[in-house]
Amino acid sequence: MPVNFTVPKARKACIVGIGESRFTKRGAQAARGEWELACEAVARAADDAGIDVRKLDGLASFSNDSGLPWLMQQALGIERLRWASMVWGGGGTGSCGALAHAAAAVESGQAEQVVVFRAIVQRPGARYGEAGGFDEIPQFDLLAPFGMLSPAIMFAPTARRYIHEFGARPEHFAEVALVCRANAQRNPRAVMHGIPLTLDTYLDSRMIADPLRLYDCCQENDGACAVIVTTQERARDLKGIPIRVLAAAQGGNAGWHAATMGTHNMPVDEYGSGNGAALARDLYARAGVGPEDIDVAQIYDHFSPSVLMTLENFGFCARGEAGAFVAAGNIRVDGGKLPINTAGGLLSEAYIHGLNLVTEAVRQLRGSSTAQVAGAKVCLVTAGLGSTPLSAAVLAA
Amino acid sequence: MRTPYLPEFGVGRSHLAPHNVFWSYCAQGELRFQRCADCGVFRHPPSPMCPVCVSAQSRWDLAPDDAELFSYTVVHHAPHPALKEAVPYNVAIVAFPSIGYIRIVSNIIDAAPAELEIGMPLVLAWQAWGSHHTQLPLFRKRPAPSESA
Repeated sequence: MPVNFTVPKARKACIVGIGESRFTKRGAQAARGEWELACEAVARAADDAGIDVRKLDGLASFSNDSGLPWLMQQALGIERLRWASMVWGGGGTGSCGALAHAAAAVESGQAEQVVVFRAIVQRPGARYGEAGGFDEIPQFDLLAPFGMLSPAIMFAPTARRYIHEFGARPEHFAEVALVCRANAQRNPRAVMHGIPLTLDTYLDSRMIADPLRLYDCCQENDGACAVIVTTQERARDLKGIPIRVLAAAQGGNAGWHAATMGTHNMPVDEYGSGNGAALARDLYARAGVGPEDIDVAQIYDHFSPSVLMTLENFGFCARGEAGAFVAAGNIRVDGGKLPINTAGGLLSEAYIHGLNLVTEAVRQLRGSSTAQVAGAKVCLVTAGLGSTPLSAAVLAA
Repeated sequence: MRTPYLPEFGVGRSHLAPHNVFWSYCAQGELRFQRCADCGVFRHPPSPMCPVCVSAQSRWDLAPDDAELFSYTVVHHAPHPALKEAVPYNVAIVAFPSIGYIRIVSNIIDAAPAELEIGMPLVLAWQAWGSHHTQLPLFRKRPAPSESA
């Protein structure tokens, strides 16, 4: 269990600004580059908060973002950089981890105004969806000779086993893809805005790595997001309504280590479950809420079956029951018990390693989403499934 | 010499020292797993200490012969230019139930995608991996007793 440590209310972390660049297909913003996109998102987040960007004093990112602290300081004119943090891990496992680090920095007084940011421009030869950029995985020598070279291939066997054990159907995976795509139709920022998806098109789409079809796999995009974290005390001087970080946590189950990015030696009875159960327990305990209190969720959807696993990990249904849960319409904005990925998610808004799920959570709690859930007060955000530690956060209006 | 299941392509060596021991046994045609010299628990991937009892003493025991197909995928979208002619190919998670379901990533040779079935018994089949001066532990379906007699 986490240490029972009480932060004075005045120092509790909250989000006061969000910013984004334009989201596009992979490669479309290559001429601008990650540094410029990151700066644009940070500057917009500062504007949103009503903060002079030069007064930011902390930087947090994840997944080895190329926006090194001194590059950001140089470009943004940051006068007094007091704190910087990089969360280990590839992919989007660290999106909420970076948020957790920013919250820890302001709550402990090490910094006052920290920006969490992530920028992605996928260069030729370094696509996430293909081999390239994965050589640095320490256990890659045990995967690559057998053709296990991309995240889809690494993840697919857990989805296969999930189907084998629980009888999940293609229509269950499809529901995740279709819900995200439907939400994206309401969101002009989404890369898949204006491109609806039907169940027939989904079922007819080609297999990438069986059982993952094309539309089970998230996009590859260029774009950047930024989120500004400060204390409640400081937020009182700012123009907007602060969104509270009830808890942001990193974690993973015992024995999972590299998980699907390694040789798949997670505990055998937890295989295909996603590695989030222990993290969920810690997160809810620290936030003082449970799954029944969550009004809307932004769930990391690099592959649609991962959403089913996460719904089970975070207590919205029992293990193996997420297929039936989504088939009953529960994750839809209109009439669902737990609307998810209201901007379209990684599948249909953009793949910014999940930081765009945090910005959408803030919009929901401000009441300004393009697929607004009426009266949303508490939002869960989860980061990518993958090597430990994963991360997640609970935000509240 | 049979055609390799997948063509060789540029893959770096691991910088993790215990992995080199695993591959050096493979070079000799031996699939061995690291085993704690104190508590006897097998582990994979190789690592400096036993995660159960934290002993740093280990030995390498031959894999048992109860391999089975734990899970798999059939890859249709080539993730690398060198594999464009190889698709569809399978990537298998092979488990050894008698040693705590230790698993390795591998390929099932001589099997069409439709023949793959979770739980199917497998036998080891080595394939040369010349560029790395070792061999890859691949598997094929274990013949039924009547077939092997």
